Parts: sequence; structure tokens; C-alpha cells
Amino acid sequence: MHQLSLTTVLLLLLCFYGFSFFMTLRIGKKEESADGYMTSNGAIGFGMSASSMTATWVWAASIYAAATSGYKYGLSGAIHYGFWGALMILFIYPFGRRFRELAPNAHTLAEIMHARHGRCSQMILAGSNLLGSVISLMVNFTAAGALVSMLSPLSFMQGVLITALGVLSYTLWSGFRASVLTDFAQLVAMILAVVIIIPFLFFTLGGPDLFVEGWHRLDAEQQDFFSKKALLEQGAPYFVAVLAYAIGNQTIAQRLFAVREDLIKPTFITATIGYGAIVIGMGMLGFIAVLAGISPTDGDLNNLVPGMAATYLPPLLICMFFILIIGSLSSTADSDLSALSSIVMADIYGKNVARGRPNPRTMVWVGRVTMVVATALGVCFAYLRLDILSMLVFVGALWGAIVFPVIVSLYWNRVDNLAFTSAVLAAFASFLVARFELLPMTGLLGLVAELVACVGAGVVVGLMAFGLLGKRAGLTVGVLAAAVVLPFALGDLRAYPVLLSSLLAYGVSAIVCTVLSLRSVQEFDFRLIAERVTSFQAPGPRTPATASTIKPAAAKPAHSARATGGAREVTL
Amino acid sequence: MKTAILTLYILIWPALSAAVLAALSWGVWKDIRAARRKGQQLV
Repeated sequence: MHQLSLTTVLLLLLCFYGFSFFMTLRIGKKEESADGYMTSNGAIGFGMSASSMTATWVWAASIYAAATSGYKYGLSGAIHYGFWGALMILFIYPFGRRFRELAPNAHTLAEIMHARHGRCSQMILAGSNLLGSVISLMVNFTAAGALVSMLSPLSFMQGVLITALGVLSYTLWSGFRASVLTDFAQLVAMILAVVIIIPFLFFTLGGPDLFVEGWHRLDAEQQDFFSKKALLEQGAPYFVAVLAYAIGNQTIAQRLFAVREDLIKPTFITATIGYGAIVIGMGMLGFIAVLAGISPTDGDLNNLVPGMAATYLPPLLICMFFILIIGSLSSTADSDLSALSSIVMADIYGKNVARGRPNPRTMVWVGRVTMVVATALGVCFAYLRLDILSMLVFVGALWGAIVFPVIVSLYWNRVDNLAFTSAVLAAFASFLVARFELLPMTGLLGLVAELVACVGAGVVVGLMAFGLLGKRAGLTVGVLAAAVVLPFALGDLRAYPVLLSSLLAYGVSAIVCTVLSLRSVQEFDFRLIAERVTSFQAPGPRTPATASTIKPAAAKPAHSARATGGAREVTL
Repeated sequence: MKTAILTLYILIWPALSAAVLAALSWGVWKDIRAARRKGQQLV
């Protein structure tokens, strides 16, 4: 017996996608601008940009995964998923401001790397972005198919096809602008569902009495808010991964280049709180499920939240839950389509095929064709039920390997293409060795891996401190973090290959990039980035970067770099 | 006491979500008014 009839589910989907399509009709232009198709006018206001950032970052998988974490790790589980994901948005904004300062007319991060290092570095970033966005698209379509088939008489593939066509229908013509506009409506639907469904399920399953009657169902680790198991198995690997996702994911960069420059900080802070509240809240459903003694259907934890909704919610709230999930996955899927189109438009067509002299009209059509092809690929991959986890491991590793070289390239004028590329390749290779245990992580090799992983831990924490507090704090906090982790990691970290391999990627990329940069004689003038990254069409209201808008130190002449204690001063 | 804290721990998140929704709605309303005033599109 399905909870939603065929008529109900078709009506819900028709209303959802019909309303989204109707909204985008209001902004449709016969002749869409190439720059607008990728990043709007570069001056979107606070409300729209913060809504879009939040809606994009909350996807169906994050709701399911947060609940899974709450179910597995109890009291702290939801925090170890949602809090770190939210914090990532906060930590990335200082770097975002630097990206905008250096390249106010950029459309993709890979475009900036092209201006900084050339084609090789650009294609590494663009390639990983493309792969990541196609995977994300497939995951969202798969989640839609699974939800539709669970709650209605429609099949998995019917759900996938309706969702894919629905998302494509309202995103195709206006691209990124349509994605941002619909994100607000989708976010409203999502938050309303969260605000109503979580308290409803909590009180339906027993309310405060649940803690008295169900507490014995938790083991010692699940009862502990400071559970070591939850931290090492969920929190720490996720904390490390999200920084990589923030840098490697074009959907975030795209919004960064679209928001009005002076609104970057409030936008990111609001998105941090919004994402945290929604995802941790949904994660609490997993915690409630353990307390109430609920088991997921067929033992599959992805069925936990849909199963709870189907069992305990009245028909109206099941409809709300359905819209919550469809809204979350559609807002991310349309962002993925916009991200994919802008990478192909700017990085492949604009910078490589057209060699920097693209025809704007052709460029827009390149974006639209990309969306159609990407949707078809997402549907095919969803049909084939490919092993998502394995692909995510590879993309996550590649993104983890590029974080340090990308960030440091935009602050340190001595990083060159050789340092960037070598660091990424070495880090990716070391990740593969540790993650899949291609070599036994024992004896001296295990010890060296753990030492480098400690450097990686210092790099992750140090980068975050550097972004918020500056170079001195970043270096101090990074060294302290590595020193604090060291006694716990040596001999023990090898038991956690996911965490070890992620930290190893950071450590190796940082060491290789730093060593090769110290040997480099290049001293890059950061003003060149703004000169090289320009609008593809008629200039809009954006402010072109000048020497005065870039921090003075970045524009210092070559002889200004000075030696300090054997190491060159980082030009900030 | 413990029960009250745990109840708050569960219910604080939907409350926070509602507050964010209010802030975003206010922000979007201001964006719409600013766009109308300047005769520009919202996005």
C-alpha cells in the first residue's frame, strides 16, 4: 500500500515543477547574456544569494546522511554531520572574498587557475568539477527515483525521468539565473516542512518521555555527546572532506561570483546557520528513531527517514515531506546543471575551443546543450545504478588534493604551474595508496604516512585559521594542531583509512607545493588575473579590478619578496 | 532537567530554521524592492 496515490504524486510534481517553470518565465530573455547565464549580474542581493547558497548546499543525500549519523552515533551524530558541513560554508568565505578581489569578472574557479597557472591547472580543476557535478546530478536523480517509488505507485525510473525533465525544463533557458530564482521558493518549502515535521514526529513518538523510556536503547558511545567513535568515524573525516568540497564544487564558486561583493560575508554567515539548522534538525530524526526503537526498512539506513514519514505522518504532512525532499534535490540538481554549463562554456569553449574569443550567442547555446547532455548522462547513470561511493571517493580525493595548491596559489606569488600540478598528482597518488591499502600501512611506511597526515591535519586547521585570522594565526594554529594530533595519530591513525588517506592528501600536496614553490624563481603579479579573467559579453555593473582594489602587497614589485629565516615571505 | 535540555536540543533546530526563514524572507523582500526601485531584474 503506497502512501500517495498516483494522482496525488503526479499533481504534487506538476505543481512543484510547474510553479518553478512559471517563476522562470518572469526572468526569461529572448537573447540571454553569456555572463548572465553563468553568474547573473554579479550583484545579487543578500536574500536571494543566501537562500540560493543554503538551498544548493542542502541536498537529499545530506538529509538522509544526517539522519543516518544520528541513528548510528546517537546524541552527537547529527552534530557530527551538520555542524561541520555548516562550518565549512563559514570558513570558505574569506577565501571567496580573495577570489572576488583578484578576479571580479570570473565565472569559474578553474578560469582563475587558467589565468594564474595556465591550461594544465585549469583542466585539473575543471575536470574534477565536471565529474563531481555529474555524480551529484546522478545522486539527486537516484534519490528522487527511490522516494517516488517508495511513496507512490510510480516506478524508480519514472521518478527519475519526471524529476530530470522537471529540473531541466525550468533551468534550460535562463541557466544560473533560473537556478537562483527558484532556490528561494524551494527553500521556503523545505524550511516549512522542517519546522512542522520535526516537532510533529518528536511528539508523536512520545515527546520528552522518549528520553526516559528509550534511553536504555542507546549504547555508551551513543549516550556520550563527546563520543570518540562518532568523532573519528563521522566528524573528523567529514570535517576534512567538506573543505575539499567547498573548494572543488563549482556550485559554491558560482554563487560566490554572483553575489554583490560587499554581501559575501552576511550571505555566507546566514547560509551557515540555515544549513546547520536544517540538516542537524533532520539528523535529529535519526536520534529520535533510535530512542523510539525504530528500525529502517530492509536494514537500509537510507530508508529510515522516508520510512518514518510513511509510517507516522498524516497524508498532508507526507505531501510536505515529499516536497521537502523533491525541493532539496531539485535545488541542488539545477545548481549542478548551471555549474556544468558554466564550466563547459567558460573553461572548455571560452578558454580552449574559442581561445578567449568566444561568440556569446554560441556560448549560451553551448551551455544549454551541456545541460541537456548532462541531464541525459545523469538519467543513464541513475538507471545503471553505478557505484556512487567509489566515484565519490575519487572525486573527493581529487578535490582534497587541490585545496592547498588552489588557495596558496592565490596568496603566494611564487607558486608556479609545476608546483601546482606536481602537488595535486602526488597527493592524489598517495591518497589512492592509503585509501585502498595498495601498500601495507605498517612499519616505517605506516609511520611516515601518519606523520604526513599530521601535517595534513595542521594544513586543514591552519588554512581555516589563515582565512579568518591571517597568516601569523594560520601558521601558529596549523603547527599547534599538527603537534596536538601527533601523539594520538602515531600508531593509531592507520586503523582509520578514510581519515588517514584524506589527511595524507592534504599533507602531501602542502609539502610538495611548498618545497617546489620555494625552489621557484617566479614572482607572479596578481593584477594579471583580473586582466586575464574578463566578461565574455558587454560589461555589466561589475567593477573591474585595478591596482587599488587588490591588496597593495599583492602588487609589490618582484624585488619586494624577502627572505625570513630561510623561508620566503608569503605575499598577502 | 536532563529531559528538558534534551527536548530543547531536539526542538532548537526547527526554531532556528524558522528564524532563518524569516531573515531570508525579509532579505528577499528588500531585494525585490531595491530591484523595482532601480528598474532592474531581481537576478
